[in-house]
Amino acid sequence: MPAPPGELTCNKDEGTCCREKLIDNSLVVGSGNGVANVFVFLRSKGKTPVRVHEDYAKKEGTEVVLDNVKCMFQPHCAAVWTKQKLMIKNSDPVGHNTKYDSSIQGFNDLLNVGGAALEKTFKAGENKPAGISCSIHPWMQGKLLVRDNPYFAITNDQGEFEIPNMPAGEELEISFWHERNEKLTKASGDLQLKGGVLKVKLAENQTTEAAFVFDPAEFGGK
Amino acid sequence: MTLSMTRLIPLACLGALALFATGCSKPEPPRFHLNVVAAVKARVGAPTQQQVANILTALYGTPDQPRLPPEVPFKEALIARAAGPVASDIHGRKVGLYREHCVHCHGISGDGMGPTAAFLNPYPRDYRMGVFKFKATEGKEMPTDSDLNKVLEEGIPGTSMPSFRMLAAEDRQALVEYVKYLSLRGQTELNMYDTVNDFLTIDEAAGTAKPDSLDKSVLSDMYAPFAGKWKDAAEKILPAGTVPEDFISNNQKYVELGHKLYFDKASANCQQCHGTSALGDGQLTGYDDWTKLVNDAITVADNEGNKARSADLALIKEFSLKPRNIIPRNLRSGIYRGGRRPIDLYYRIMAGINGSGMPAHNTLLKTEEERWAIVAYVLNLPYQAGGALAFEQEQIAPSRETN
Repeated sequence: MPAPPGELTCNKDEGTCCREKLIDNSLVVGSGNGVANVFVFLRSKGKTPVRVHEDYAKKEGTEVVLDNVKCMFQPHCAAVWTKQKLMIKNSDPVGHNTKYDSSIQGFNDLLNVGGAALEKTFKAGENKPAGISCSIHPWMQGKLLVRDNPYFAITNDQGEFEIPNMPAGEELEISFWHERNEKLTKASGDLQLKGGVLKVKLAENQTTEAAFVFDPAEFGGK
Repeated sequence: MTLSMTRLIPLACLGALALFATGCSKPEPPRFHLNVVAAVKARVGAPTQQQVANILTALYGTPDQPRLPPEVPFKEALIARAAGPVASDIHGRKVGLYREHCVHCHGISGDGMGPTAAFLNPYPRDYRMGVFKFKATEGKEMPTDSDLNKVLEEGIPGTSMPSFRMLAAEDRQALVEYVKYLSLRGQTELNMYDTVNDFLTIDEAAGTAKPDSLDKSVLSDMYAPFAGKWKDAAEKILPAGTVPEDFISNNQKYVELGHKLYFDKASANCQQCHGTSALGDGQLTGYDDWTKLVNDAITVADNEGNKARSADLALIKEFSLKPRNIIPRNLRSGIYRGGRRPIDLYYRIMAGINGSGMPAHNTLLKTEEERWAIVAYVLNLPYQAGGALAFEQEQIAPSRETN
């Protein structure tokens, strides 16, 4: 179990933001020692588009919500498909701005108080998550992943994730990315996660399970 | 014993001959540096760095012999004029313009870390992230040629960037192309660190790095998205309405509305960062994008689990300038870095200032009246009573700050 996370320096809009202690959420470990906020996503091979299962058609056009609540991003980590919409909300009584540090489709937009959500759509998928931050409240940090296929998930605080209906019968490369360690390496039975990439061939109509157990030091913890 | 003049001269000739005979060795041609801070942050080791350097040389050449990857829409002839050592061609036209005018602040690689940089506040621009502040294009788009030319022509008031109006327009355009070249090269390098797993097979333990059948399309992916952004810049200019006809005659109306919006949480809410007195003291603990990269690299390196911890930290210190907070503009000083025309302020506020924390306000302020009201208010602030000019932070030139 890693050392308990430190406190963030809250130095702006104290009345709204600093009433409760703000906890550093760059590493969130749940009660059962599960590592939350690990992005798990299918890498595309060169220019070949990924085969998308028809079940995902109902996910097209849906919204992923990124909210500003008590001067923290809610959720800390978000992932969005290019066929979905990102809705950025401000539920606080103070102004925020949302800065997305992508090298090709970044933005930095102001969110007023009590205003409508800001809708963002993305043209291209990206190789890995990029940072989200607020300039007015610099302790606010998050991660956003934009993908051009729907095969992604973010682990919950039990460290669990599920990606249904992945392409079967071909070798897949799946990335595992955490903001404290982009090159996770661990074995689980036959499966070898190396440098943040898992190579696996999934069988038709079967669920493949894996459990990766890490040392706290691998996340920069003690 | 005296030597007569007639005897001195042959000796002098001998001396000169001796010099030529032993040879004053020509200095080595300058080379581009890697973005070492980014390499440390991406945990890219020395063998991979060497591969990245080789690829960059293949794509972009050297400071003396620049080249462009295929289908990059920059003007090679102008880049060639700006590159290389300072000299005149046979017609007396200057070449090596970048080295003559820019390198002492902006560095040979465009890293903003030339010899004078440590003495300057603010630091010179590091072009390698492809992030530029003063432009008419939306959000995080690239600047247009016109934007970059404007910076060269006007300089940047409030900084050490002078005007280069004394250069011919073609010389300035050559420098603009060279800045774009350095920027694209830097963006390519950063992209390579981000995607290094996709194209290099690295056996770090064995100390070898093998390019994994680097075909043209893989290589093209390294730079094409950014070249595309540079090409599209002219189409991304913020649609700006014209200055209202009564902007001056009815200025007070705009100023009053601007004053209201400045403090309105449901609107522009400028006071959160620029402060209730507009002195720029609302949020002093933020960092700009260039400094964030250094801080992020330090966070990655400064890890007990990092076997090369002290070496990495030393590298970062050697290849970066001392991090400074970014301070919101003191709006009472009357100094506007990107230009003081109403339209310049309109672009800064509506598009935001890329690289800084200043967000775009155009999605929020939907009416032209509100937008020009904010501009009018900002232009009026230096003349308002009760807000005596406050000096810019760190006004006195610092001595060379050691890291």
